[in-house]
Amino acid sequence: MVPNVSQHSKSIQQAFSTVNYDNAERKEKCELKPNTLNNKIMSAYQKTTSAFTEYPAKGLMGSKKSNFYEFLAMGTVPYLVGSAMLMAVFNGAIKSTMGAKAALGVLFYGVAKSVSKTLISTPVKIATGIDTEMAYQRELSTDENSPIQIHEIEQHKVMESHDFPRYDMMYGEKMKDKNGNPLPHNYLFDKIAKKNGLGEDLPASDTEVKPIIKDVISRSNTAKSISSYLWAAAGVTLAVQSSWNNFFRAMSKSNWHKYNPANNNTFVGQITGKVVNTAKNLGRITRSFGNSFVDAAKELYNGPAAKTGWNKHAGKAVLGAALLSSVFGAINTIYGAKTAVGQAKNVFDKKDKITVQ
Amino acid sequence: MGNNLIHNYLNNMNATSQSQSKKSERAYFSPVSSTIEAFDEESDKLIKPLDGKGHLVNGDLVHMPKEFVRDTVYTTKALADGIRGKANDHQLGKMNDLGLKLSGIAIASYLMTKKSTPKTKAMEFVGFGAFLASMSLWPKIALEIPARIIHGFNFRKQYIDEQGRKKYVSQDPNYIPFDLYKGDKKSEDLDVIGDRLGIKKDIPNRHEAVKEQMRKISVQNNTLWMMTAGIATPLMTALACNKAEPFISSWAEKYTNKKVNKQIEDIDKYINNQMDNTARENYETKVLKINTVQGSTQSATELEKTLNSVKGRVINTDDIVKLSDSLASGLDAEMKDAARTDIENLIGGKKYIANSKTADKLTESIHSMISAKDAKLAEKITPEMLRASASQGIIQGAVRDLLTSVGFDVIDKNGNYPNVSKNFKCREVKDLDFFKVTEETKDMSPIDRLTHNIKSIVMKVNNSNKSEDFISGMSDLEQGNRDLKFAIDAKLEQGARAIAENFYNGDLAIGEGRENYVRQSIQKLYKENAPRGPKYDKLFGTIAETLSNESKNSRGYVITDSVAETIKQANAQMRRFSAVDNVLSDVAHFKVEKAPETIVANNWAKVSGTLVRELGYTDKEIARAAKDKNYSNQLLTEKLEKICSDEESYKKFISNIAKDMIELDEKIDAPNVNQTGRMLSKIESGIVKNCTDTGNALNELGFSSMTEKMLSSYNGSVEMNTGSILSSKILRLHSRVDGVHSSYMRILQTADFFHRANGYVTALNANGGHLDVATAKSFGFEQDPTLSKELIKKGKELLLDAHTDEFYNKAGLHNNPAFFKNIMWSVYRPNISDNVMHWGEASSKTVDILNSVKLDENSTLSPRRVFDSRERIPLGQKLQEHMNQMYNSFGSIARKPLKAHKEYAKIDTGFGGAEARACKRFDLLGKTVTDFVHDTLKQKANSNKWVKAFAPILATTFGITLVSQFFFGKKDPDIKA
Repeated sequence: MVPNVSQHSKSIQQAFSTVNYDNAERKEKCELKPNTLNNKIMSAYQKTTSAFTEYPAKGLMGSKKSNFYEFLAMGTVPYLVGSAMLMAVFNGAIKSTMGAKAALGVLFYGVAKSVSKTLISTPVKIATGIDTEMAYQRELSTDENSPIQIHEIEQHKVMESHDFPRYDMMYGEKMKDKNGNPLPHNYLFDKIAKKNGLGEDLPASDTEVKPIIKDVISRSNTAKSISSYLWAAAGVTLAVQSSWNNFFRAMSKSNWHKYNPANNNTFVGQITGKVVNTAKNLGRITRSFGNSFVDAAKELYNGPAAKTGWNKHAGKAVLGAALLSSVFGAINTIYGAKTAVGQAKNVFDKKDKITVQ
Repeated sequence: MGNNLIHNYLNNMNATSQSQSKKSERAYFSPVSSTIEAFDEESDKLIKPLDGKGHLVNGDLVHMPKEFVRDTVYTTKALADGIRGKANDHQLGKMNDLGLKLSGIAIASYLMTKKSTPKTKAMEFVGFGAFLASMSLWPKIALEIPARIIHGFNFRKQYIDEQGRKKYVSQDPNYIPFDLYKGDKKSEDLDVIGDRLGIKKDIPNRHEAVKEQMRKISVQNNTLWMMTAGIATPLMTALACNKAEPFISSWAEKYTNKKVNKQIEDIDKYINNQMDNTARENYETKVLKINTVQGSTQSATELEKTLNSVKGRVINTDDIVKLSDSLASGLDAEMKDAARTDIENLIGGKKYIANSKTADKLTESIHSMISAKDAKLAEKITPEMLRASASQGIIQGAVRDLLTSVGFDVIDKNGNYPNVSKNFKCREVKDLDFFKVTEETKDMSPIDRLTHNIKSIVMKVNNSNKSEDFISGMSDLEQGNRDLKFAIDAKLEQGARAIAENFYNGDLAIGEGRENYVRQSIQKLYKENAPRGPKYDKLFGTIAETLSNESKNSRGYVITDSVAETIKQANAQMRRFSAVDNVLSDVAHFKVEKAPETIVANNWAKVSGTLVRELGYTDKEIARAAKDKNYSNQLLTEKLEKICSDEESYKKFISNIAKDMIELDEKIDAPNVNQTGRMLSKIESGIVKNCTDTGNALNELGFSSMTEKMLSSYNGSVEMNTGSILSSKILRLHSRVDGVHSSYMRILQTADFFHRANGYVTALNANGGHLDVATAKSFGFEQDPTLSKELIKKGKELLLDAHTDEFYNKAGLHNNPAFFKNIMWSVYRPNISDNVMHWGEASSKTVDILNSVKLDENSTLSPRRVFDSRERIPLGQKLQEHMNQMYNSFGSIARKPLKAHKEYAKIDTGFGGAEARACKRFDLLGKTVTDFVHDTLKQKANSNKWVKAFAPILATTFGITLVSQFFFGKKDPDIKA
């Protein structure tokens, strides 16, 4: 459950209050969040709004409850504010489409950085069964009757930490089947074990799989960090191509096809006409964006016709580096998961019971 | 088993607790710290757990390099561990920083390719560097340092934990490693920090209170950091880039100038054949990117492709346009038109176009004509016979062309054998059978057989019986000049193959009149078979008419091998011209062009900046003057009057702007160390030589129109050579330099005039409104004060604001030539007598000041002067010369010379032709001083606007951040004093 805004304001009020929280008895509830678009948007919304409101309010008061999670969550603030500021600075300093391109570059940087991570997580999930993006929500609250009310929500990934992965969130009891019943205890670990060649019906698949998960966290996080920034760079280079000038023209006020009210006499007709006209204009702008995107990508890849060497092929190099980092990162992660199995096999036969005497 | 160490340790605890009372004699009571210290001291003798490896990091400047190396090694190992699946959380966190840096480098490297000058390229990396620096400097400057000063401890102190992981002590407020604050230094001593924080000394658990206060302030500062970094980092980056730009600009200019000077030196050596063969080949391949004979550039390939596609077939106008556009690629439409004219001339008139299909067509029409008149004759003269006869005629015509071209293109060009050449040109081929089928050739394809037959006939040479030579004299030639014989054979072989191929699969272009061979061949066949008589003569008349019409209708332009070869040679010349010209244009561009970051543009900006600074404009004045030209003009007059009214300020003013001005010619013309010559003169001579060499070569190849466009009537005098590529390039070079020189001179002269005027008025006032002639003349004015004041007013107007039209219209003084004469004297020739060298004292003073301006204090050399035969001239002397030129040129200029102005309307003013005078006049005038200043102010206002918009936001953010410190660690009466 994602809190609404009123809960934020409640938290802010708490942040400013002088009650000693140490005495409150807390309840912790961790709940897996299926990897749906809706869940992703809502958890990002919760985290971002808290980062702009609740966490700074607590932090600026020096609250005892401010923690490392909140500090990290507040990293979104300079990221978003800085992006907007960069756009403003570019447009203030450069009077031409270069300013608009720079703003687009800032936008593409963020989008490419975030979206490109799926280039690692998706193949890794398919090949190893390990979903590195598996998310859960941690909810901290006090009893309803408690004199001090605490309600804190944190958004986490099961595998965000290599040193302390939340294996407990991966057991069947935390998940539900179609009928809403909990899954078998080692359901996910069994699946991962099977997928990575450890075999089926293992007595303790969780124990077998945990080292593989650690390996995958290390490799995939490294790959995501490096490749997402290289894709971000590719996003910026894409945004500075001259093909975007067409899109900027299409966006300009002078190119907005005006609605002609003469064709409709009724009130409803006028409103419908305006809506249809707006939709048409938005469609035109969207098409222009699509076309400019394709043209800009071609322009970036091909480089200027008149140039040679690095000046011509720099675009290919940036795109190539980004693509290569994703491909290598994904392969390296999958390779790690698969070979970790082989190394373990040499020690014990997983299907035999082993007794230490 | 030995002693139980733990047991031993516990037993000795008593001794430790006893010593506590000794330690507690400190000025204040702090049970926790004193216990620990006492414990540490007394337990030294005991066996106890080893000290931890964790420690605080010394973040001062001395330790920074060591820490940098350590961090780099750590990050590298983290990457390796990450890839191997062994990285811990801290190491994985480092990957984020690495990614950020990689991404920044990738973006800067790419954006660099989109920039054309070293400065803009460098600025991409400067921008990225400034961004990284701002990211780490903002929390240091705005938070860490103020917090240290106000609260007495560094909340951003770093520590290295047991596992060697470096972290900020306060990053996780729930785990601050206070155990590492061992008190080795004051900044690591909780007691000292507690004192600085103002924590009461007599409270229980004082250390805990200190720790809580440190935690609180740290959380507050970290939060504030997150809240402000987004605003501050981009602004700091932008402002840092803004400040860094002049330094980068200066570096980039030096770097590029050095590079360009080297390029000038190299191209000069290349053009003047001062390179050895290896160096020359290298230069052509690597720099000019041309091969030694034929161009290998894109354009050359284009031309060759076009040539190959049109060779041997009838071409149309589009083909010729395509060829001429390729030949003159990179040059203007005039040159392309000239290329077209030359190619058309080379191709010559239309030729008779024929091939095997022509023979078929003729056969069909002639045979049907004969059949209509005489069926018997039609049976006798079969279509096969007619086809063979027409084919023979076509081939005879083509072979005749081939032999003639051997005479002209091979023999005449490669040796002195007029007889053999003549024999080729005149060799008759009538009656020769080129379609004979023998045992040897019966299995050959028609093309191979025809090639074989032509070769066996035309190449026949018999050394033992010279009379059997097909071309008489060839046997002797074979003995005397084997090379030429080979060349002839090669041409004949190639020609024979081309004739055969074009006959069956293409078009043969047969020279003027040689279509008669077809007529003769068919006539011979007809006469051998047709009975005699008027009826048959009439029939043949009809046949002849058909043949004649056919030849008229089958005419077109064809590029022959020799024409194609000539065009290729011309193309090689043009490609070389373009390659050399590109280098020369690039270097000239950097030196003098009106574009960003050229030497001239940079110097102009520097002089403008100094001028505005020296005149003492305030920000407010700049903002208003930028919008209001009238105010700008009025303000300029006031500022000039003020600065020129005091001897010291005047001297400083003109010396400082002059110092900047003389840098221009030094940077343009001075060679690199170990190099010689004058750079701009080398560019100029390079342009002249490149154009003349190419023009002459084109002329030899028969491209006279192109030569004319390239050189016009070039006769050594550039100024006379108007309308050509050569003159436009040279005049542009001179005009750019002259224009800037004149603008600078105009500023100096204006200052001199204001100075003189002020001197005159001061002297006049001091002498009760009357001066003697000599004194008045010493300032360049007249004895009559009223007249002089008018001259001052008009002279200021003229110098500050006059354009060419003011001079055309005699400054509105058509009706007052005497006053105009006075103005010209007073402004441009302030001499005390008619002797042009006898300058008035006031101007001499200016001249002396300017003459003493050198590049640096130690230099004894006068400033350089580009394009002047003297190379170095004192600046004051140059000003005098400029004023003389202005006097001569602008004094005499008139829309319509009137009688009264005769003296100032003379045509001969010491300059060359009419065009030269016009150029000199426009260049001499330069930019008006009012425009110069107003444009500078506008630019400055725009640049200020940008800084003014963003700097306050940064300042406000900084202010709020700073002030916030005073609200952090709020006073708690329980713990704070």
